Amino acid sequence: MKLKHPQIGKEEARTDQTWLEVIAEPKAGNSDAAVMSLLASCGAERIEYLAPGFIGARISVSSKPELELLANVEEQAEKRFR
Amino acid sequence: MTEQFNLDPRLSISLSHLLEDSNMGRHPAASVRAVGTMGDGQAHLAEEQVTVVVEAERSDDVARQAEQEGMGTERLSSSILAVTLRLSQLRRLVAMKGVERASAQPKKEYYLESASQEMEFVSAAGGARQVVEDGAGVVVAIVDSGFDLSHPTFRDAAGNLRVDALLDQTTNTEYTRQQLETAWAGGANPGADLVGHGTHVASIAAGSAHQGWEGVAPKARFLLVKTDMRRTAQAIVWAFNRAGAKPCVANMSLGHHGGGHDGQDSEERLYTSIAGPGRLIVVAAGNEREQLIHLGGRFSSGQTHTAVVDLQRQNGEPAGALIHFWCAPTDDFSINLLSPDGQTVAMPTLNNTTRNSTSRWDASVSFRRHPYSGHQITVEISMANASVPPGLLRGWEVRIVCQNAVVGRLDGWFGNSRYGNFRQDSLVEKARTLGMPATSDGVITVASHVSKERWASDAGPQTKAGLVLGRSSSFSGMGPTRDGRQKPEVSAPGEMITAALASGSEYGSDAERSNAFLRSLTIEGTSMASPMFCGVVALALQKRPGLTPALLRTVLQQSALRDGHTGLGNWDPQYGYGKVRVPALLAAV
Repeated sequence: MKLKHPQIGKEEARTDQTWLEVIAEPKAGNSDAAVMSLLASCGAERIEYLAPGFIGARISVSSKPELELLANVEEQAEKRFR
Repeated sequence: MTEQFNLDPRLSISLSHLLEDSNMGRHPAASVRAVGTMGDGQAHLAEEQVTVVVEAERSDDVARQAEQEGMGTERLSSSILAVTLRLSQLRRLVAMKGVERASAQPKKEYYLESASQEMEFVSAAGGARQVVEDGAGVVVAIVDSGFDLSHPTFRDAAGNLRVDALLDQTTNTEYTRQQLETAWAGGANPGADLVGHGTHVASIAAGSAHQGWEGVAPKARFLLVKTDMRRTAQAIVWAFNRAGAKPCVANMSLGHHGGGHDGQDSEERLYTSIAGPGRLIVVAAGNEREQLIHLGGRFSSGQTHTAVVDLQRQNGEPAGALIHFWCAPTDDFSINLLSPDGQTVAMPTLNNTTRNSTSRWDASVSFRRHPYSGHQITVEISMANASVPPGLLRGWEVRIVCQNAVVGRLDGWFGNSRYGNFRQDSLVEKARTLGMPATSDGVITVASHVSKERWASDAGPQTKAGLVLGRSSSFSGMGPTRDGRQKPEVSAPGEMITAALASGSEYGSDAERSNAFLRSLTIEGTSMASPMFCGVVALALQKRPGLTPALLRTVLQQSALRDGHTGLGNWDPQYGYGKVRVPALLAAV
C-alpha cells in the first residue's frame, strides 16, 4: 500500500534508507565530539555543531538506533508558513 | 484651448487623479472616473510630469517606443510598464503600438500606515516617524520562503542591496552580498521567492521606503535564509554566527504542531540555549485557533472520553491524519482508535506500535516516552488513495481512558492542520493552539490583532467584512503552552498588512491581494504580526544592543497596551502582555 505521510501531505513510504534531518543531543556522559564522530561513522551528512549539546545532521533511518545509544535523536519537524 | 483626454478608449485617466492628492491608496483601475478635459485655465498643466501604468502585450516594445520619445520607463512585468512623461505626451503614449490600457498612478498612502500608527511609531496623521531608532547597526534575519531581491524593499537609497548574505537551504548554497548583486543583475536570482511569503515578511520587518511605505526598521541589515522548512535550527544558528558582533533579531513566521508544545523538543531547547544578549528570536503564534486541531483537559482516574475525528478530502491526494497526544509520565492513559467501518486499533504497550489495515486505509497507535515531554501517544490514519468513500473519512473515534491520574492532563494536536480536525466537543479547545517553536522559552511569541480592514489591489479597493479594529485576529493561536507558561508575549498588527510583493510569486496571481504596479501584497496572519514585532525588536536592539529575551519580556509587561479588548490583567492568552507600543517600549528598554 502506498501511504501518505500525513504530516507533510506527500506520499512518503519510509524505509531504512529514508533520510531524516535531526538534532542529536549527547546523553549524559557523552561528549559532543563523540556524538559527531559517531554520526560521521554512521554515514550522516551535514553534520553541524549548533551549540553546546546540540548537533544537527542528516541521517538515515537505519542509523538511528545506533545513534540513540549515545544521544537523544529528534527529527526536525516540517514547518508551515503562518 | 481644450485638450481632450478621452480621445482613445484605451486611456482611463482623470486629470484630478494625476495631479491631486485625492484617491490616496486606491488602485487606478478601480478609481477611474469620467475622463476630464483640460480647459484654458489648465493649459499650464501640460508640462506637469506624471506617471502612468501601461498594460501591453509586450511591455518591452512599448518601453522602447516610449524611451524614443524621451519618456522614462520601468518594466514591472512582461505586460505592465510604468511610464513617466509630461501630461502633454499622454496621447502619444496611448497611440503607441501595443498599448492596451493606460491608467493613472495615484498618490500612495503609507502602506504600513495603520499598523505603524497603531503601534504609535508613526503619528496618527501618518508620515513622520515618532522614534529616532531605525534599525541602523542591527541585523534582521528572516527565515522564510525566499526573497525577491529585485524589489526595492531590499535596497538602500543608492540602489545597493541591504542583504549581507543569503543562505539557500534548498540548494545548500550561501551567497555573499556581492554574489547576490551579480547573480540578480544577471538573472540567476538565487534565493528567489516563488511563494511570495518571505519577501512580504522581510519587508514588514525592515523593508526600505518604497512607494510611500517602509518597514519598521528600514536601516537594519538583512541576513536571509530560504528555508527547506525543516532545518530552521541551522538557519538561526547560521544567522547568529553570520551577524558577528552586531546585535541580531531573527524572525520565523512558520511552525508546526508535531511536538509536546512545552518548549522541550530539541529545536525549542536549542533556541533557549542560543538566545541571549543581542540574540533574539521572534516567532509567529500560528493561525490555528479555530481549526479544531487541539483537544485537551484534565482527567481523573477512570474517566473516559471519546473524541471524533473527521479527515478532509485532499485535492487528488489521499487523506490522512497525524495526532500526537501528550501526558505526564506519571499518568496512565489508554487510547484506542475505532474506524468508521468498525475496525479497532488497540493501545500498544510502551515503545510499541499497533497497526490495522484494510484495502482502503491504514491506521496505527504508537506509544513512547519522550526524553523531556512526557508520554507521547501518536494516532496515525492514512487513506490508501484519493477515492475512498466519504464515509471512511468521517467519524473516526479516539477512545480515551484515564487509567491513573497524578497530573491527569492530556493534550492532543493534529500535526497536520487542514488534513483533519476534531469534531467539536467539550474538550476541544481554542486555548493552547500556539504552534512550535512558538512555545520555546527562548523565543518571543507574537499574536495578531486587527489594525486595518481595507486595502488596494489590482481588482480595486477591497474590504474584509467582519473585522473589528483592535480585536485579536480570529485565527491567532492562543496560549498558554501545554505546561502553562504565559505565551504569546505580545500582539502586533497582522491583518491586511500591505508590504512587498515578490514578482512572479504565487501570491501575485491573486488580483484581490496584489498590486502589480505598486509591487505590493496584502495578506493576513501571525506571519505578518511576527515581523512587525521583529522590526520593533531591531529598534530596541539599536538602543540597547545587549537586550535579552528576559529583559524584553519585562519591558513588554511595562509598556504593552492593555485596553478594552485585552482586558486589564497582566497577561491574556490572546494578546500576551498586550499590544505593542513602540515609543513606550523604546522608552522602557
